[in-house]
Amino acid sequence: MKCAELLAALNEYVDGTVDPAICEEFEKHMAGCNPCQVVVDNIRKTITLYKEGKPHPLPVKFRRQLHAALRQRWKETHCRKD
Amino acid sequence: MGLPACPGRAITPHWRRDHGHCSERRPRRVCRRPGRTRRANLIHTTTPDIADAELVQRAQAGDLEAFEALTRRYEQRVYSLALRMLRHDQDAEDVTQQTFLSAVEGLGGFRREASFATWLLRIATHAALKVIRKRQGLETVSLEETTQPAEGYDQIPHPEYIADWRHSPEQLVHRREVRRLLEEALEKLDEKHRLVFLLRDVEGLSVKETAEALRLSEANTKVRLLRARLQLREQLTRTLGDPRRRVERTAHEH
Repeated sequence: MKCAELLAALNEYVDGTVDPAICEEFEKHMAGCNPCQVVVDNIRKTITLYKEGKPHPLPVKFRRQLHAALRQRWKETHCRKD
Repeated sequence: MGLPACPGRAITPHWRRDHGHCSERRPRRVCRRPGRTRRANLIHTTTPDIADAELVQRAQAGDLEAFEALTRRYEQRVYSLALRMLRHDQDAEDVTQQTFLSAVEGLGGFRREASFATWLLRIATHAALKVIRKRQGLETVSLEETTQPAEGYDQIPHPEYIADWRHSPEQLVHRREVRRLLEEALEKLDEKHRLVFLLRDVEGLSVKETAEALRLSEANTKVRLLRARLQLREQLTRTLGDPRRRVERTAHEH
């Protein structure tokens, strides 16, 4: 496996869905290629950072408006059914 | 704040499904909300123990409080997704509101073959895509692959700046400047790459679910995801990488 081929299999490798035969080649290549090893580690950390990051809070005023709109729509929808 | 630890729930493995609503449990926030009944507060404070499926069932049976509890559980995630997809506060608010209003309307049709979170995020994605298409107008390229050649693996750019990071993600995640860096890096991505990354890696949808939500093929979704991941790696490593532990790219060409 060459570096370019490793890149093409990178998604499946970090997601744990790579075919076992390719996985073996992937790891064999990494064992002899420090840059690829570091790239894979960087990618994992990049994904983790985004996964663990906090979502944006809702602006307070909007949040109030959202819940009011929801209750209103709920009333309309559920009255229609009656 | 003396909050109890957030319990892990098997039904929603992605950690944010458990944490998205934690901050909402602070009494301060509850008190600020006008017109709440005692019972609603009770449900509100106990929602972490109630699985989505049960709340959905109650809401489908006509229980507004259960639906509001689901809304509180997911409103931040929906809003964040919309904000990051659209990069515009007002549009993100509109899409968030539309999403939950559509959810009220469509709740009866929700059959639970997907998780509630995935269902909701799909509604949000479709609403956001509508805004994006409206912005683009008819004359410019659309997101759909029918108007765009599929990207291949052959033109994937090789990593340039390769270095071990100085800190672990756990050390970095709460830093304000890192959060800013993450948002800036996302904004630099092409829209088509950013959307795939947001759904797959930030929101934790599967490749298949991401492809369906964006109406792309799985093959194209995967290539876009790879480009997004590599580009973000490149940008973050330039700031977070340790220059002393940089590996020269020339050593990488084999």
